Amino acid sequence: MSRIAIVAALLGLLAVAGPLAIWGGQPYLAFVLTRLMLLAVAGVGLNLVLGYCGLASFGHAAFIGVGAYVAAIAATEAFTGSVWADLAAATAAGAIAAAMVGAISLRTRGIAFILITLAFGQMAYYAAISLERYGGDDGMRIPAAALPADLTLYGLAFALLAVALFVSHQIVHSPYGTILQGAAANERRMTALGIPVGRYRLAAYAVSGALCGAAGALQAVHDGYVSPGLMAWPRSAELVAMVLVGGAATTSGPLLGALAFTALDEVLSGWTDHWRIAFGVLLVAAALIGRGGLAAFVAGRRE
Amino acid sequence: MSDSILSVTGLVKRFGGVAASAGVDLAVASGELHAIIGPNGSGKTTLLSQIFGEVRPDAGAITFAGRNITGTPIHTRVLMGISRSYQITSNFPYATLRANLAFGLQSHARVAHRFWRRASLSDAMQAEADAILKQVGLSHRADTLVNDLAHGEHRQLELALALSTHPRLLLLDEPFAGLGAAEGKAMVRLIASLKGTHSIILVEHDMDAVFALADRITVLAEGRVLATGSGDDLRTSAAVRAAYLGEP
Ligand SMILES: Nc1ncnc2c1ncn2[C@@H]1O[C@H](COP(=O)(O)OP(=O)(O)OP(=O)(O)O)[C@@H](O)[C@H]1O
Ligand SMILES: [Mg+2]
Repeated sequence: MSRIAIVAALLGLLAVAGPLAIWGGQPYLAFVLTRLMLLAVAGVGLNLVLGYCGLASFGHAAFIGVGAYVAAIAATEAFTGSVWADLAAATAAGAIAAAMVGAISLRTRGIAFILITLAFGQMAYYAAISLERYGGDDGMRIPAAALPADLTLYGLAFALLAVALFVSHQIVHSPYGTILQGAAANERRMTALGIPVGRYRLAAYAVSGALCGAAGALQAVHDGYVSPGLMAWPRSAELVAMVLVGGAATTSGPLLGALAFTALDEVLSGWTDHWRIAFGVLLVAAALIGRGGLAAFVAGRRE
Repeated sequence: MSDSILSVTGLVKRFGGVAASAGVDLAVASGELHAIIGPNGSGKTTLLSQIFGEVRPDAGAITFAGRNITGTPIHTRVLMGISRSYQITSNFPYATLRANLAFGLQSHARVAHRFWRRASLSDAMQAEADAILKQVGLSHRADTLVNDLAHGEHRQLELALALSTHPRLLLLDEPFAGLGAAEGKAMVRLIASLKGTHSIILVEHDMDAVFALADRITVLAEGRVLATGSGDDLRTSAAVRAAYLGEP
C-alpha cells in the first residue's frame, strides 16, 4: 500500500467511525478517537522538525500546552465566545512560542539543541504552575457551557487532522520542503548553495508550533481541563517516540504512531500502569528496523 | 588592480596559537585563473573559507565586485556570484545528480522558498541541470544516486554543484585530489573551458595542473603570501623553491 493510500484509508475510517460511535451510543470510542486525532496533529507538527529537518526537539509538549492554556483561558474568560477565534488564538500562540524557542535553539546542534528545547519545555511547565489565577499546580476546569458538543469536537479534530496532513504533504513536496530535507543530510553544502538554512528551519519550527498549538486547544476543550502536566517533559519525549515508531519523515508516520500509542494505552493501561514499557519495546524495534517505522512496515518497504 | 573582481587585504585568522592567515593580501582580476599553492597547513583552505564567508576573519577586509563583503552572510555572497567546491567532496548522497543540482538552481532562480508548489524543476531549469551535467561530463549519470558514483565522478559533481548557482567567482579547493592521470587531464580541460567566463581561484597541489591552467600563482606559507607571479616567475624564484619545493 502506498503511503498516501494508508493516510486516505485511515482518514476514511475516522470520518465514519466517530459519528457512528456517537449515534450508536458509544461516546467513549469517539472520545478516544478524538484524542488519537489530536495526538496525530501534534505528531504531524513535530514530524516537520524531527523527521524532515532532522532536529530532535524535546520540548514540543510546551507548544501543545501553550495552545491548551490559551484556549482554556479564552473560553473561561469568554473573551470572544467563539471556538473559532479561540482556536485561531491558540494556533498563533503555538507559532509564536515555537518561533521564540526556535530563534535560540536553532543556533545550536546535536546535544545542545536537545537540551535547550528540553529546557524551554520545562520553563513553560513551571510557568504554567506559577499561573495562580488559572489553577497553578492543579490546573483549571473549563466551564461546561464553553465546551462544544462531542460531534462538533470530533468534526473539528478530524478537520484539523486533514488540514495538518495536507499542509505537511504540500510543504514536504515543495522546493522549500525538499531543501529542508537536503539540509538535514548536508547543512554545510545547502548553505553553500545560497540557502539561509537557519531561517528556513525557523519557519518550519513555527509551523510545527502552530499545529501543536491548535491540537492543544482542541485537547483542552476535549478534556474540559488543562494542567501543567500537559507540558511536562515526558509528554515531549512520548511525542518524539510516537513519531519515530510511526515513521519519521513520512506522511502517514505520525498518524500510525498515534494509532499505536492510543491502542496500547487503551488496551494495556487496563492491566498495568506500566503500559509505556510496551511502547518502549516498539520504539526499540522501530530504531532497529530503521527510520521508516510502522509506515515502512505497512507500506511494505524499508528504506 | 582596477579591474579586480576580488581583493583581500590584511586578512588575519588565528586558531589558538596557529595563524592560518597572517596578513594575506590577494587580488584576482576579472576572468583570471589565480592558483594558490603552498605546503599542507599553509592556510589555503582557510583563505577560501574566509572569502566564502564560512570562516570569519579576525582582521582584514574582503571586497567583491566593488562591495565590502567582509561581514556578509554566505547566502548573500552566493547570490552575488561567489561559489565554492570542497577539498573533501560534499553533496547529497541519497539523491540523484539531477536532484543535487536542483537545490542550487532553485536557489539561484530565487524559488527555493516556495512551499506550496511541487518541487519538480521547470523545463528551463531541467535544461540547465542537463547543461551543467554535460559540461562536467556526467550526462549519462543524471538519474543515478550520488552514493553510487565513483570517486572521480564525485569530483566532477563537486564542480557541477559549484556551478549550479551561476557563479562569477569560483573557489576551487583541490579539484584534482585523488584523480587518476586520465581523469586529471579531463579535469584540466573542464577547468580550462570555464576560464574567461568565470574568475577562478584554484587551490591545488598538482603542479602540472597549476602550471597548465594558472594565469597567476600565489604561494602561501604559514599563512603569509610568499610570492605572486606567473608560472615562469615562480619557477625561477629561489624563495619559492626553498619554502615550497623543499630545495635548499
Ligand atoms: N577550524 C579549525 N580549527 C583549528 N585549527 C584550524 C581550523 N582550520 C584550520 N586550522 C589550522 O589552520 C592551519 C591552516 O589550515 P588549512 O586547512 O587552511 O591549510 P591548507 O593549506 O588548506 O592545508 P592542506 O593543503 O592540507 O589542505 C592548519 O594549521 C590547520 O590545522
Ligand atoms: Mg586545504
